[in-house]
Amino acid sequence: MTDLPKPPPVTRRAFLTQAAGGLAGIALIPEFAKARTPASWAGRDDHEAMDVALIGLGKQGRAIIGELSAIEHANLVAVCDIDERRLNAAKRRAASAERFASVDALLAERPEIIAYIIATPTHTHRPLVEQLCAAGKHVYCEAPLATNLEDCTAIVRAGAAGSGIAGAGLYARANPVYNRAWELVRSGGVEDILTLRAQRHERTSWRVPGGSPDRDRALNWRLDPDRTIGLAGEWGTHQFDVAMWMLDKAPTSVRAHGGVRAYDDGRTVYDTVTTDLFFDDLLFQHSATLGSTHGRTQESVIGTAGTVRLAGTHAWFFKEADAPTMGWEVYATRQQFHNDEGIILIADATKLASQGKLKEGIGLPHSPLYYALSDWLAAAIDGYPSATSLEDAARATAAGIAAHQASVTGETVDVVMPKV
Amino acid sequence: MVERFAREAMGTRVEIVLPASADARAIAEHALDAITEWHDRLSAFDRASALSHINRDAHQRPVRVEGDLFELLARCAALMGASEGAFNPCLGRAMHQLGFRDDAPNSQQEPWSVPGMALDAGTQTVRLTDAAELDLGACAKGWALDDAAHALREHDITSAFIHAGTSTSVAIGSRPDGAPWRVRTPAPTGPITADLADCALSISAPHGRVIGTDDGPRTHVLDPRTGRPAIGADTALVIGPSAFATDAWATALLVLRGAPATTPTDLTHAVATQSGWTIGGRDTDLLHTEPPQ
Repeated sequence: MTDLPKPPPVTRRAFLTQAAGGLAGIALIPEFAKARTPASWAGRDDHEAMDVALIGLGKQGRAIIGELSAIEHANLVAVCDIDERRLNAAKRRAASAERFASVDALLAERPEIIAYIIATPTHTHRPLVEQLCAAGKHVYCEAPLATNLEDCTAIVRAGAAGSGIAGAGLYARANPVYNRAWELVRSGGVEDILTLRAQRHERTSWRVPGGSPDRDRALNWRLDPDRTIGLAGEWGTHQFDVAMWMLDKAPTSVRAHGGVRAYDDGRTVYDTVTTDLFFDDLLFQHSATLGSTHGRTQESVIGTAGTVRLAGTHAWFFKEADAPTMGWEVYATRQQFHNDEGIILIADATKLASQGKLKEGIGLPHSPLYYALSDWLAAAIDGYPSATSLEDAARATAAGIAAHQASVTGETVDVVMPKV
Repeated sequence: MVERFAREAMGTRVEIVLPASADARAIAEHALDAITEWHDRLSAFDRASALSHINRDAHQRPVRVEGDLFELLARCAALMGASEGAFNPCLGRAMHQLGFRDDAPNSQQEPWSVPGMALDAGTQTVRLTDAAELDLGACAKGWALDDAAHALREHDITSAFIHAGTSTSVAIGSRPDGAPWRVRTPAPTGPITADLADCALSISAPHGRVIGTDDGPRTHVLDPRTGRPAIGADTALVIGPSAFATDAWATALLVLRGAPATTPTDLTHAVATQSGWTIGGRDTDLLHTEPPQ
């Protein structure tokens, strides 16, 4: 197995030179040569689709079924859940997949399946990863990885000890438009980073109807203080990873504040949490709520030359008026947001521009989940590391665990990275 | 005592009304999630939707789709046949060209070719003809509401009402007080009131969406057989056991000038004003006509 070469840091001078040259200034942010990207896999026919089994058929599992049907190199052949109702419901959506009520039965009856996706509740990940990695399988584990550091460490060690390709369900690092933004940030396009912000706002109670006390308890793990890492952990982890990836550093401490503000239904797990995650003296502010959709899900990297805003399938660059003009921006497509004008960042812009299809590139043609799954499967087939490693996910999860602890205790908490 | 829960989806406001209980919110959200998932998969405006994926690739090669999406497309194909082509889920490209997808209308119209699709049940794949792009605007709301109703029934809900932007609705049982769920809609011949219990209702009218063109106002309802604006009924109200069927037939009846050659088996009542066609009659105990105001 060969490590993927890490893209070299790009100096701002090089960035401007590359951007201003070629393609008559139409494009674009320079694109690093990559050994493998999901985009480079599109249309490839020199490989067989890999058989995949999915464990966990809740909301995330259902979303994964949808994305797998669009991934040409994936063939969903088995699904597994201990909940009979969910398992039966999957029959309609994943019609050709064999259904199993336990992982043991799945492994025993379909030993030839070598790729497994884990989309079960967070606190159940560790034994599954350990079992599958020990059996030599390729494993994709949804994030956050775990609800405590001990389990995070164990999951990373299990992945390292296994012979398969392990990856994690964080959605930034394999996302083409986030990669474009990463290149802009890392090349100094925003110059000095002042602060970072992110939010995830949805209007949903997080309560799942079970129909019986036992099923209620099993399905409502997010609202159980003993089994959840709350909004800061379950949602924050994904966006903390964006900051950690953009800054290429780990957070040092965190403080958080929350409350039950939207749903007076007896819950004790906060439905609204604000988090300040510190990277030494640099602040990343995060807001999560179950009570409002305003602003939905987005991340911003705010710099002296401009701000990058990310929103799943879209990204924009809001340039300061006194920042130097970049060659590519003159012809770029823009979008108005009240008083601000964003330059739309486009993945694979050079290729699209050469085909005269630049505008068709606005907004990704697939969801961030698609790219995460596609990248891991491509990695498993080709024998490369996944773009999002278990180590990356363990670090982001550690930040999420610390943020949850800070929100519960009201104290500033040091972020301790797992020993991996 | 009932509670109301709503969400923006399918290009409109979707609302669920059900009896108040400790679990009402969780159950309603479960049903609304089903609608949101279909919205995400069937949106013609989202490049990342499953529908957009089909529209991008299914002209060149068969595109594999999930089992329930294939089931939806198969139901669409069956209804295309039953409606003699008056319902067609492949009008996306035409809607673009006519300016109903935020594009400028294309003044240079190509000769009309009826768009279509080919489904392969063995491989669960779909292919589109050259002129076709899927646009399920005439049936997606109904399909999603059927799924939401199923989600409610899964949790033993026996009384609820779901509607999407007032054009398609599903009644589960009767109201908690035992009376039917009552829907009142304007029509050129006077408001029509429908009393619903365990059935779906859809209403469609060509004036629901109109754009201005050099040739005057143009409605969003096309006759898929000619590519020209529909000239059938000016309002269609249909009732049946499935919201998918009522939604699709409500559009088809705007296209047909009279009754379909074969009476639809998936409708119990229909009123198509102007074309004068009815099933199950009006002024029955289910449908009442009020005098024009």
